[in-house]
Amino acid sequence: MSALAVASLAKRFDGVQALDQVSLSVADGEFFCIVGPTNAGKSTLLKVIAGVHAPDRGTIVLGGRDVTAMPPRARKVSLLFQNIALFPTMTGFQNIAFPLTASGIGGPEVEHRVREVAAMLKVGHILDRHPRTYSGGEQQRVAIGRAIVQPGDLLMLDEPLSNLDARIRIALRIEFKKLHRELRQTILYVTHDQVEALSLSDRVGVLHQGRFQQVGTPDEVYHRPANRFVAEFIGTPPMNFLDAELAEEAGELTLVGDGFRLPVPQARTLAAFSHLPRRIGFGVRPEAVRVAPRETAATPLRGEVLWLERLGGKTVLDVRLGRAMVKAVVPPDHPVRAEGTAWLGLTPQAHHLMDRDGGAFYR
Amino acid sequence: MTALRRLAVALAMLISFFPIYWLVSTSFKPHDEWATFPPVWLTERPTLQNYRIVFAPELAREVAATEAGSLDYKVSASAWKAFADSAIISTAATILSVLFGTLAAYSISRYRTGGENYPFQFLTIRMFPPIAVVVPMVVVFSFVRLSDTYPGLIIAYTAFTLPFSIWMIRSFIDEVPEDLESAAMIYGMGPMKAFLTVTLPLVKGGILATALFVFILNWSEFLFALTLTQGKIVTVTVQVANYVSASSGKLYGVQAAMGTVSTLPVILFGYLIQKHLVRGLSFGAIKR
Repeated sequence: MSALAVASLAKRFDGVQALDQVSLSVADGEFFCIVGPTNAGKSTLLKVIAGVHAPDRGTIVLGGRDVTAMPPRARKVSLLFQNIALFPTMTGFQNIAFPLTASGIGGPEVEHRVREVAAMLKVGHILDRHPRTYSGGEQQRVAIGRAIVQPGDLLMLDEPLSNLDARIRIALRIEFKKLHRELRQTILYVTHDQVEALSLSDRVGVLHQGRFQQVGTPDEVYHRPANRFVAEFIGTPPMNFLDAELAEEAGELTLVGDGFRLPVPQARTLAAFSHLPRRIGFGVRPEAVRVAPRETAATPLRGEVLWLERLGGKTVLDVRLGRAMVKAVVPPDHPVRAEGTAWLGLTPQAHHLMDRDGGAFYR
Repeated sequence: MTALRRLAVALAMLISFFPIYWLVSTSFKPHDEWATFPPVWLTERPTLQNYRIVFAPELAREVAATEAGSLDYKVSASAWKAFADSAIISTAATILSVLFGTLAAYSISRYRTGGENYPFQFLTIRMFPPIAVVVPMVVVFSFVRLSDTYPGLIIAYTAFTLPFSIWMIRSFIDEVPEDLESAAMIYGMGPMKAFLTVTLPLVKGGILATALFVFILNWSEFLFALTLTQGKIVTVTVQVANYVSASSGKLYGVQAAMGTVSTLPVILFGYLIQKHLVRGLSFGAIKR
């Protein structure tokens, strides 16, 4: 049974369509990441699921119960807010205990459970203080404590790492993974950071303009993106896109473009093969671009390196190929170490052939 | 602080405090020093006769009979009744105004009740000069028998201060992130309880500051107090205006004595909530 099933959800705010036909099913115990740029509708989706906002259309089913019309407190969900939202007038203890005390639990059980959660999150020593005296990381941990002290059917985390500095961010990222393993809770995690999404989740949903562009495993969205938006949003640097004409040369399907001529024999295996247009686009991941200092069988295309970005662990090259620009990622000790002529090799994949106008990849 | 700035501050304080000084000073002056030229800055013959006339008219008459040159002004009733009436009306109207103001402000801030322009409609109530509505109000109030009653003035004051309450309190509630209430609702509370437990403690200072502001408005109101009463109810402001004698015109000393005493409740209220006042009046005081 799925822990969460959302169907055809729509929500409009002040003339902006924040959510537009959002459907989603999350399995019990799954770690699901919603990733997308700012204003994609990510926070709105969480708040609609939590019941803070009512949807204009659509249904929300949690653990088999239709909660669409239920008030937030009846839904058995937890939400860690993007701006943390700890109660400023209460101590850390009172904040973590809030879900228990608000639902009428009292006495030694509260004390016991709050201490237990606080120990797990290593905030036991700051429970008597008020949130304004906490550091960013402490605030975040106490807020997590509040979200998990009373386990519900679904734990939602809205950009839980965005307000923290890089060091704490990486430490907490691993802790979310641990937390998920220990609690075995269904987690819906929102982030704009694709690295976070890919590294944490069982499945990823890429949200843009209130719609899911693609839902799949991190591998699927990275290697087989559904459209140009996903291909550009997932992966740094983003996927390269080149324009070409699809031609048949000596019985072989070939992509012919400015400065290149590349065979794509597997294009025949595509279901869409019979109606592929002549004018076509295709994508290549920067990691899949071969670069060499001289012409070889694997690197037959002449290009010009315009810019080198040394990032320590890797080097990013900006190469001009014909009229197009291609980014390539190479190891730091790669023989091409300066601007100037270089030779490229590309092997287009059939599932990276793209509708130039619509931006969808052919399948 | 530069010398120029010190000078400006000194000047501002002089302008602010001069009326208070003059009020207090006049309240202790014998009647021949009230309006002389050159003015008497600080009397050399201080008297309590002005205060006696206000609070103990019987005693004032006895003193006047024995002390030569003392003011002999015959009023039948003391001002205690006026202080009691003003206290009842101003307090009740302030509580109602702030109570309704808080509820309306919460509704407007969180649910956008009435739409984008609704808060401005409240302001239009204040744009009417009260003098323009006072005549119809007198007619209506007589008709519904609210004239010269406590509820009558309380209703009038509540209605006229409500726009201030709503606007001020709304700005405080707007400062509190809505997510705090959302969190309280997700973790087990209904909307009203979430507001009362989470948001209200954060805007307490603002509400008290608003209450003080509204109380001052009510306490010093004159037009309605005069026109919506016929003598059964007398507020402090009306009582002050009553100190007029046929022979010597306005009794400035007596009016000053009453004025001095009537500022005391406001100062006391301000002092009691002073801790909240600074926080309440400095917008954006809530740490996010």
